[in-house]
Amino acid sequence: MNLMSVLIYIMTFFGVYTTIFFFYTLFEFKHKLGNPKIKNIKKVTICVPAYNEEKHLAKTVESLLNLDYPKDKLEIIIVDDGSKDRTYEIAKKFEKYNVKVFTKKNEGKGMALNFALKHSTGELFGALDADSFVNKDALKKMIGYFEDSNVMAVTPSLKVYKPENMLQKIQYIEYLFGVFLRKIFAFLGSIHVTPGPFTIYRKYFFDKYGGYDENNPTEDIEIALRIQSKHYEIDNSANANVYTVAPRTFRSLLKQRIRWYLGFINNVLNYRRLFSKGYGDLGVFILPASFISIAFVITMLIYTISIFFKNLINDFINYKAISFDVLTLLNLDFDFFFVNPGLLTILSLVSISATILILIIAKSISEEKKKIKFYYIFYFLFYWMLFGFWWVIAGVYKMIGKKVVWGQRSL
Amino acid sequence: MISKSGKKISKSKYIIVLVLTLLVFASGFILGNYVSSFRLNYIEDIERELRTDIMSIEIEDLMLAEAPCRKANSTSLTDILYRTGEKLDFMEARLGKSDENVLRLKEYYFLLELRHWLLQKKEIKECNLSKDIILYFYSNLEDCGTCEEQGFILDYLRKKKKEGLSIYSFDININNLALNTLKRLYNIENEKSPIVIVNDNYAKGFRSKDEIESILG
Repeated sequence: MNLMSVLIYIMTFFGVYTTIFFFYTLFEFKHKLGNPKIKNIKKVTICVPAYNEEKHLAKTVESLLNLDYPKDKLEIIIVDDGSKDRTYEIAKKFEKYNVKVFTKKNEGKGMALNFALKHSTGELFGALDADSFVNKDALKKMIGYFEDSNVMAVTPSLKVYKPENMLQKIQYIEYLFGVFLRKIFAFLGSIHVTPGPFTIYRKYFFDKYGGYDENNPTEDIEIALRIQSKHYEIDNSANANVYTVAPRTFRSLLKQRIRWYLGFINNVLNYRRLFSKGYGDLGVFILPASFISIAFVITMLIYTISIFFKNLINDFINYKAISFDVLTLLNLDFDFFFVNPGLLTILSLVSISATILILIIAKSISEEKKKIKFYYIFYFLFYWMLFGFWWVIAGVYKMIGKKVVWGQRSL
Repeated sequence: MISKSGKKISKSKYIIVLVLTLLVFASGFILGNYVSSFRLNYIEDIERELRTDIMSIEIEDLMLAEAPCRKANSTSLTDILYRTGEKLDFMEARLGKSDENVLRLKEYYFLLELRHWLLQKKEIKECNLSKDIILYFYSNLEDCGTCEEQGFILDYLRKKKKEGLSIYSFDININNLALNTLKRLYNIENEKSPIVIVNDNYAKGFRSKDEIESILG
């Protein structure tokens, strides 16, 4: 057995352990899957920070206006962050619905959110990116969690809005996995990312520990880690559905992921004190497991690519030797003997079954009606490669100290 | 207003999950091994079948001694030999080159090949058949850089020529009395693989598709 085989066994063991850990957690907390009842309707401020969002802004704000929540308890603020398109003009049209509209020079999302915080009057505060939309009942499903005074934030179930191309369909499945994971992390008190779209925070936390980190390109990761570092809780409502427009092109997706992953590395390094027993499962398992998974995926990616090219070269040499007469070699006989059901094959089948089960659970707890169809195959074939690739690029950026700069300070 | 407390870890949960993971692994391991042993038994069945086939042919040969060329057809046996060879290659890749079962089966397989080769030669001579025979000596150790390519070419030629060509491949590193005699016969005891002997035409080293085809009838 060579070194790589040993590593593959270790990786598989780790993967099986983690999966069983998650299922065990779900079983342990299954009685807590429902949302808590609301005793006091709290006033909520929702900010829509917008930079050049003329395309989606109206739909986003309309979805907020349609929320099933007492109007006197809901404050909507649009902050136009110096857009160059018709964003501000569109935003102004909503003033007649008691939406507060502000415009300011372009300074980035963190600044825009802090600007809104200053003008907010709600006990709870949340943001909704201008390319995201909420379900009518989303807010009501989330508010009950704040009855527990230790809860500082509640995350929704984030899903991809109308996935069209393959890349968006892969992300659709990825987000569904996120639904499952976020619920499990909530049970474990280990949510370490509060997604930008529609995570609701207790304003008390901002008042006491400061607003959003304005120089942080992933302020949603920073705020989540800050909440954890202060020993507060972040909960999740799995059936409070929020939809976001996923990047359509490989380039825009890569851009987004580098920002996320680099932000994750930087923020986790800044909050490295969380890697300790005092922070429970988050410190001893969830955060270390995230890094171990990333290391494993990168190793697998490099190994697979090297094997792929080695085989490609070998095949080329062999086929060249027979003048590329591949038809002669065509063999349609099938013999079960050559099906290789070794330990790894069996464990791979177990993993595939487990991921299918996770998707089914995610669909069920988030009340998702959309059928998965063939999306899963795309996801299973390509996602881990994309994931490894994004992390390699983010790692390179980190090593060479490259900053994430996207021209204008985008949201 | 708000209570802050450190979080607790359930050690028993981590241990239970570890036990469950070990159980999954153990089940996978047992199942994998069971299937492998099942496959080895299958190879042994094939070995027995081949032995019976060879014996049948020998008896058939004796019975038809008066008119030996009336049957002159051992295609099915040749196919079985090739398929068994492929399965042995697969087992070797799965269980390793030094696995005792694989080595034993390989040695027996080579003896079957030699027997088949002798029968074929006799058949070709006595029945005046137009058929080519290739003996191929390979090594699956690191010392043979071109063996994979050579094997690929021969496999291609076998599929192309079908019944018109019989190929017998031998691992040069297997130490067996009959095989050693064969090597002595062709004076290749100290040669390095690949060695391709086409209809008794012997040349050292790698031989291209065109080169072999030019010798074949």
